[in-house]
Amino acid sequence: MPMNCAAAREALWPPEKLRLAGEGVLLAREHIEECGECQEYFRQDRQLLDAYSRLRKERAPRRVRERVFDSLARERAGNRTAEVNRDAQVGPGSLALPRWAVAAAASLVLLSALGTTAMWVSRSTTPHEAGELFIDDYLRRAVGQDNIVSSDPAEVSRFLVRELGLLITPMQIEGLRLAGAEVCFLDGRRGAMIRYWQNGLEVTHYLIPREGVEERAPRRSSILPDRSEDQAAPSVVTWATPSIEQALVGEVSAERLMTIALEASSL
Amino acid sequence: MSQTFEELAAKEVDGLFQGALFLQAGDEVAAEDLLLWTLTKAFHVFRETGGGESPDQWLEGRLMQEFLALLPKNDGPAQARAAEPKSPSQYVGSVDPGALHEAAGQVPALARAALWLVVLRRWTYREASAALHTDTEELKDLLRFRHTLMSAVLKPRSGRNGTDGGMS
Repeated sequence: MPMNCAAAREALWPPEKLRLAGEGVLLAREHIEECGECQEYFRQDRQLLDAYSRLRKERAPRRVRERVFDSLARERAGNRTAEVNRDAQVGPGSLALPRWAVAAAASLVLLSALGTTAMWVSRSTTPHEAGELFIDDYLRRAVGQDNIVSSDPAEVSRFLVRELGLLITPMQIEGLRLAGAEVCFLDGRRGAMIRYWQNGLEVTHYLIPREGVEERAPRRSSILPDRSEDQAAPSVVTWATPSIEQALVGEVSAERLMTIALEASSL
Repeated sequence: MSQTFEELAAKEVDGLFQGALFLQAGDEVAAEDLLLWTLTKAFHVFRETGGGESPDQWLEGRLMQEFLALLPKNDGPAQARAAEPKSPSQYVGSVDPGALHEAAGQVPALARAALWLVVLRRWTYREASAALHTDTEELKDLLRFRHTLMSAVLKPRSGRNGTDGGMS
């Protein structure tokens, strides 16, 4: 029994979907091949879809994103406080490290904290190997615009709310100068990376949202990659507040990072 | 791997905003409110039940649910059917993406919802019928308004008009 237009269109909807050539599909195709109206229907359909696909690629206005993520941040804050605490005391600085080392160390530690099966953690790891794992984040940073250079805590806070829905106030610590923030991408998770300077040395604060994570006290990391003797390893301290994995990574001493982390996690 | 709601929202917010704009026929304020309301409510549901196997489609369903909740009670399938879609014709020209949202305003709200789910977001008839609380035949009726949408979004084909032919 021949199909009518409506039945044929329904049977082949959506037309780009692969489907088994059952009797209904064969009848529908037969109808379409002989029906000029249906052929025109699918031609127009493609036009509409192409036009709408172009629209969907447009970024929502900044105002809309800010409003949405501000609202989500408030909803989440109803259950817990995501603010980073202030006024921690810090000591003198120490080692100077290349930026990749800081990023790789932080990523390594956070991936471990996130429970990722990173087999290379348990064996001797070179920076190149570590770099491969963080290619997503590196590439995103290279081409993306998800970062802000600012020493204004309010501006950085607004940026993080807008981009991540995280209500975060950057730490305001004597001697620690806010440099900016970026959206980081670790193991498929978007998070915040807030950068600071102290006496020319970089300190980075990672905050990676993770549902269900339990509060954990700060501790120094012991899973840093092996390095040759002339390569100084960055200091890393990790902890967790409800729903957020956190890490401080920096060229300053571990003791100093620990002090900051303890202050931040105690409030 | 599980994702936070904020991660999901960050991935989908642009597309959802365009969807809200279409459903609200280009009214940015109304679209923004619809999007905000949808995501705020979805946040709490997500924390309880997650977004299922297809979180992006789940969010689209949430958007539709909130849109339908905004419609007047008497704006049902029968009312949409009562409006007369423009008759099919051979259209010329190409679709102007910029005109799509305003063109949606020429279509009854429920038909707009059907067109968004089926034509623009490629939901199956069965899925869309369930989301719209209609049966498949009612959905097909609503989809007839695609002709109205098409006629409203066509860009005039550029042609000779006496001003673009250059000097002779």
